[in-house]
Amino acid sequence: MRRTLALLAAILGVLAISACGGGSSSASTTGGSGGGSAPPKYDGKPVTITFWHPFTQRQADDMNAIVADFEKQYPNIKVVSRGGISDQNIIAAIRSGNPPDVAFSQSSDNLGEYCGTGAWINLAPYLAADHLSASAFPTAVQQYTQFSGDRCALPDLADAYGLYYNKTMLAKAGITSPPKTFDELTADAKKLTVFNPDGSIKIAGFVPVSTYYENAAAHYAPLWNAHWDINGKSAFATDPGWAKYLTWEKQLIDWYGVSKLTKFVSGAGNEFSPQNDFERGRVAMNLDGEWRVAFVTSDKSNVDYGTAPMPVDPAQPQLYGAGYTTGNVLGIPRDAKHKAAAWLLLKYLAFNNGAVEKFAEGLRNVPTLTSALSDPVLTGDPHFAVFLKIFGNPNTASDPITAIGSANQTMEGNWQQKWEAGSVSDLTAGLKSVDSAIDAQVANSTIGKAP
Amino acid sequence: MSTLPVAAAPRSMAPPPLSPSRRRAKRRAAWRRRRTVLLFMSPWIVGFSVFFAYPMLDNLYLSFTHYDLLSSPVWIGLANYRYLFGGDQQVWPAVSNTLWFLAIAVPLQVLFAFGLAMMITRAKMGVGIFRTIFYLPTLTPTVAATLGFVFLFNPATGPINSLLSKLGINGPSWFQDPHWAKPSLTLLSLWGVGNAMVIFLAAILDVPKHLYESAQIDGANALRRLYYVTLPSISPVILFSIVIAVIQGLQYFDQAYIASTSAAPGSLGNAGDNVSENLGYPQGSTLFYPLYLYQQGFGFFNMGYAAALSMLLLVVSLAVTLLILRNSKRWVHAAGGVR
Amino acid sequence: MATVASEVRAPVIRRTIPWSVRRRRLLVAIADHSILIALAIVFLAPFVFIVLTALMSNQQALTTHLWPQPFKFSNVTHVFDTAPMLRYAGNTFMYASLATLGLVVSSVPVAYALACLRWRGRNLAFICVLLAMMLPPQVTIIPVYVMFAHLHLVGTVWPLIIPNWFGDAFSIFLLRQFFMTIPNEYLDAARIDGCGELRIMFQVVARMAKPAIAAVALFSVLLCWNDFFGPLLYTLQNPAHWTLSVGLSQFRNQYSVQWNLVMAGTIVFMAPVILLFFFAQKAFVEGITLTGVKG
Repeated sequence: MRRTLALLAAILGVLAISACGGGSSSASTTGGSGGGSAPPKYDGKPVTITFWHPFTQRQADDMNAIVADFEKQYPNIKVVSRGGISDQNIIAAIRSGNPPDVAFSQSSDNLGEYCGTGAWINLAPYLAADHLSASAFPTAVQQYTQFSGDRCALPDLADAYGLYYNKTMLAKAGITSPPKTFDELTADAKKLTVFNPDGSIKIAGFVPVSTYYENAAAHYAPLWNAHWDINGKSAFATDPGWAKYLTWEKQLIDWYGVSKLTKFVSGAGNEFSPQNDFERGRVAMNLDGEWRVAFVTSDKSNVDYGTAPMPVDPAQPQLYGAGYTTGNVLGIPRDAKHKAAAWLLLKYLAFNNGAVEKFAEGLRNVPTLTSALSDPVLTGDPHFAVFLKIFGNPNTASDPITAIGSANQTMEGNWQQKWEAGSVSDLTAGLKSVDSAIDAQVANSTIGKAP
Repeated sequence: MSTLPVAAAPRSMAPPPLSPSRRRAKRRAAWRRRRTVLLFMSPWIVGFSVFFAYPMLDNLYLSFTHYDLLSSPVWIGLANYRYLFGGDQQVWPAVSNTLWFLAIAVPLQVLFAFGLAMMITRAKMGVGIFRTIFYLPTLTPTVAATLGFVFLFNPATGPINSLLSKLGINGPSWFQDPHWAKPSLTLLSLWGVGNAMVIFLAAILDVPKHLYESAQIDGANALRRLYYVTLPSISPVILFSIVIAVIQGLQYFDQAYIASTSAAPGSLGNAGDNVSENLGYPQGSTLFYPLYLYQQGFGFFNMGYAAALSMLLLVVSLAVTLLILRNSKRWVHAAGGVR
Repeated sequence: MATVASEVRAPVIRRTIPWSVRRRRLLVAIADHSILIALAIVFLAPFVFIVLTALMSNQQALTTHLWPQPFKFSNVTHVFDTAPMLRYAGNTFMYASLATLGLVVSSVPVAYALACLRWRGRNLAFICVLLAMMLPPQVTIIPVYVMFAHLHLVGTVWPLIIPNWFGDAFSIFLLRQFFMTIPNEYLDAARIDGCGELRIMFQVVARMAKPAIAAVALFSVLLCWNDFFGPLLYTLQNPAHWTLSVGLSQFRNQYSVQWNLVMAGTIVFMAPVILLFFFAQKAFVEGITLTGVKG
């Protein structure tokens, strides 16, 4: 019912726009909450807009299909899409004054830079002019698409992270259900690991190394209830969750042996190819995003697998079911040349229920429109439904948006590599040094900036 | 830029008094010559001021500001320098990486290039073939060569370690091991010493034959001939090679960037993450100073601070180059000299 | 060797060389050549392995096997389907050709003025050239980047091309060194004949310095083709303007390929340069020698 209503609304919207092509309408709603002047309206003239997105190959095809639908609705707007774009590309393009009309970023990490500086324009006036509201998105999504009250981005699908396990291997090792705590994960990983005659690792039960695939520390933080910052100060030393996570990780790494694991990891297949280690049975369990469901299908992998929430801190079993989430964010860069037409594409991608569902079904990503969360195609897939649940869990969290973008994650990651290799003797002192390095970088990056 | 007479006509010390018309003609000629020089020099005058002198001054200014390219630079005085010498814990590992490279890889490069050149001069046959083979890697695009090496030395799938294991040697993790990453890059740089080798080769072949002959008559053995004849004769070339290698060592970027981003196991393809997150992999062991500068300036867009970093690089480069040139007077034979 | 022969050498050389000395010399020569051959194999091995890996299948590239089974020659063409290699090559070609053209056109007159004209401030100007040549580019990249950002040229190859149109320090240096070797008599003779400096540059100096100009152009093409830092800085944000070097550096992540295709791309990238080398080997070697010996 809701779906048809949304569709109807979309059709009506299209009719309204095409009916008043001359621009004679009285749509001059005042800026509303955004406080700005009325945004420019698309005048219906033929226009070509550029659209940058991160997808490649199969996922790019899905993206392009949605864009093609959009172009069918707005025959005068031609969208030139460019895939394979990273955040670094977007940031550099904005700073160089030569950005696309619509930018699609796969993480909200840099939203602080996009919103806080006006690099992406405030969308509040556009929303108000079209009588749209961000309340159409789940609360968590509303939060990661704005920065300190400035709504500069809209969501289009989100990612939730969970555990993938190889059923055949678990059964062979006599494990009946996937692990629920990290202690169980360690025990299972040891049982599942197979060594070659020369002592090297043939099949790893679970690889905890932070540089491996999706194993970044950020994806573990919610599972240990660890926080990146407390009261604006980096919190690696002050939040005990980090030490617990790192100690657990180190113990498992040491069980394998650092050099054996390094060698194993360097033989990994490309993450987004059929040679992905999980898909070709080189690891028994893996932390990964919900998109892997679609990859397993499209790569024609014959892995018999199950999905579950990631295990959690044994001392906080109530966390089970939570996970890391992050979402795609879309925005219009400040120097975009065709903002009015860009807004139409943005609106279509974020608010059009049909578009969101079609895209979510294609990529097998979590939809970000509340109305699309009940899409039967998505909920009907047991592998995928797990991730919808993780997404809805109250303890599921993302990483905070900082003034230094993801520099804090880079700095933590560099240090963590040393920790994993065993070249850090004092964990607390090490974490303190990371904290002070990050705080110093934040101080240097924000000095002279308006508070 | 006033001009002196172009033609090398001999001039008397006291020019005879000139008639007004001749004086005018002379002035016109002088102006024409000045114009000619200006015309010929004009590309460089523009290029030097727009792409060198102005940026240097601007860089100095930016180093006292906070600048993120989104809003105009904000003057913050010495804060960047205080951070550089006080708070920044990431810069010193980068400095020590670069120093390691200067202290170990650079001398090895010069020695190896010299050794190759000496070997070729001893060859009786196939000089051209050997020269071509040793030079070929130099031509290989940096990106291609580095990607090739990262793969060849991959501990799990690369051929080097599988060959080593056939010999019963358990090879290291090369680019994946913080202790081996810089030596691996050094090997890569030794593979590409072709330019220096060709220069050495030409210099060694240029050493006058009679010097060797007289040394031989004096009963000097091969080692002594090398020490007393070859080395002094080619000392300007050695100096040149060292200076070039040091300058390149201070700027060392491409290979380390590619090696660290391609050796890191985690594929970044879909994660939307910053490429710069893998710079320096493993464990920051390949984060050389220029990479750190790039990361701050173009990864974090902390351009004011990056400008301060580059000021330090400027001072160090100037100091190192001058130091080598000054000390060189003691051991370089002033055969060519600076004209 | 010398110690044994030192006392008897003079008479020995005149007569036939005794068998023992000849054998010793032969052994030394064999040892020398064996070392050289071993070194040559080491130098060539990476190329061999790169080619072999490029012909492997996806699965095989993830194993330790050295020999492709079966040979997948289609990889080399598959690279072109996977990534817009032709576009990358086009961008690289545009960069290399326009930059080289501008570099030669602008550097020759400057080198001429520094070598063949006499004027006050000439030494100072030459020191400026040396300075620009010696100092690391990182010292100026930030302001230059900001400048091109204000011109909205970041994201294109133009920031890489344009500076070359205003003289390149290294090329000016190299050309000047060569021009200096041209005897002044030629120039003066032309001047007495009433030639303007422009004509002398074109008809006398440029003609005599053909090998040097060829070497400078060749170096420039090679540097542009291989350049990574510049394209990384200015084109990374816009894949439509990627050069081969940037495209290849992003290859594995961007197109989710295994090492075999990366190596195939590497071959596509290397091949033109190596071909160029074999056609212009003489100019190369002369050019490099020029940089070192005349320095």
